[in-house]
Amino acid sequence: MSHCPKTLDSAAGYSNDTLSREERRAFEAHLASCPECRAAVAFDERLRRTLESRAANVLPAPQTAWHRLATRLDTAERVPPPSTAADPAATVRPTSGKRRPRFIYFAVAAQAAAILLLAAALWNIVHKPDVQTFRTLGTEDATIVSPEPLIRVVLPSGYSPGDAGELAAGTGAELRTHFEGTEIYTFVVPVAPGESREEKLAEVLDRLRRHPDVRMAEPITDPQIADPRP
Amino acid sequence: MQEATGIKSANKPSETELLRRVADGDHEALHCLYMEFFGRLGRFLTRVTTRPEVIEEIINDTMLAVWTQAGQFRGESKLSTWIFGIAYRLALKALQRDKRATHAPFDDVLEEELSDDIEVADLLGRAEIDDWLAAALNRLSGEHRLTIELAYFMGLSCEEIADITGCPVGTVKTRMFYARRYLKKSLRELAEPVAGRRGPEGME
Repeated sequence: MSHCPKTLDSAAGYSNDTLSREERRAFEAHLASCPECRAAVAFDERLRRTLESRAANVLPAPQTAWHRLATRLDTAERVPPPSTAADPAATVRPTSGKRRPRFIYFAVAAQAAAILLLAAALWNIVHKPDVQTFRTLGTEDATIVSPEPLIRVVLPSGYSPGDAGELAAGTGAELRTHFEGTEIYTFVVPVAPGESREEKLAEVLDRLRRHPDVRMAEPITDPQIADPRP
Repeated sequence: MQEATGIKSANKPSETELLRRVADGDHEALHCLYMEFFGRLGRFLTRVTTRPEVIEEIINDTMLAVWTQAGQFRGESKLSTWIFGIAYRLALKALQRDKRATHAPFDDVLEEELSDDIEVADLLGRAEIDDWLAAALNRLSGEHRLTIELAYFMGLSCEEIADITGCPVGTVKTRMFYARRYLKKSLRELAEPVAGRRGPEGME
């Protein structure tokens, strides 16, 4: 099965008019010789028109809706803003006025780094971890720690890591690891703030298990995963 | 509480300024933002449901999140992207609650061939195409459905959709690709019984 890559890359942008002038011109030139992209553009145009023609006028009255929200404001728990020093991006910096000499910042940063290094050294001495939580190329029994849901996936032997990455993206996951010399991959499931971790994991697992190329897809429940190679 | 008469353009504060005031606990600033985004959010949410009470619930939950988290907004994206991102996640949950939305089975979709595109092109001229497309859209998974709505109904670029949905641009493109292929497959399935009734010449 081979698909024109421009169908994936440019057809939607062309239909939405979100391509740059150069991209648009190049894609129009490409259209002349690509029946697949021509069919995609015709389909997209029809889809857009259908969606627009079915725009429902069912909006609630804004005033009434606002009054209902207003009654909830005072009881809602508000997240305090981060302090100005910790979050410079959250505030607008003054463009004039007295500024501290730059060396003060370097001095503070150097002191902070020294304290961190000392703390890390002490931690290592006092706290010998039982499980190695990082992986190096030379470490055979390294482990991975991930706060996001992980899935162990087995794919056919002809799969390259690129193919696996594409498959992962198509099911809402991302390729995390490929164990070289095996058909075993680890996919990570990105979870946005506010999303349910379990629901997202179940959804991606369902898609993977329906995929004809996926030999096995199992969630990794233990956050510290041993390398599965024999 | 001030009535929702909108803000006069002459002294209209910027959205960023309004958000700063919201972070300081200013109800009136939130009211201005609410009116500013009500239509845009509502337009998007009519794609998720036709029930006004659900649309209001999602808009109000979105703006309540703006109220409670305004101080956390770091300005790394456009304010509208941030607000639409909150609405997107709430809309996705609403779609997932809706039993009509089913996950797109991607197995046979992956095997679609170019000749099928040309076959679908013939279907596009049929009178029932709008109804078929609407039915096919309801079969998509929530994430694929909303990606299509954001792209084709709201007219957003893949980059903007990526910011709103919180996933890489490549994932947005792949979702659109698979969603379109699934829609085409559904169109053929929906058209088949009609074609069968009409006979090979397409006559009733």
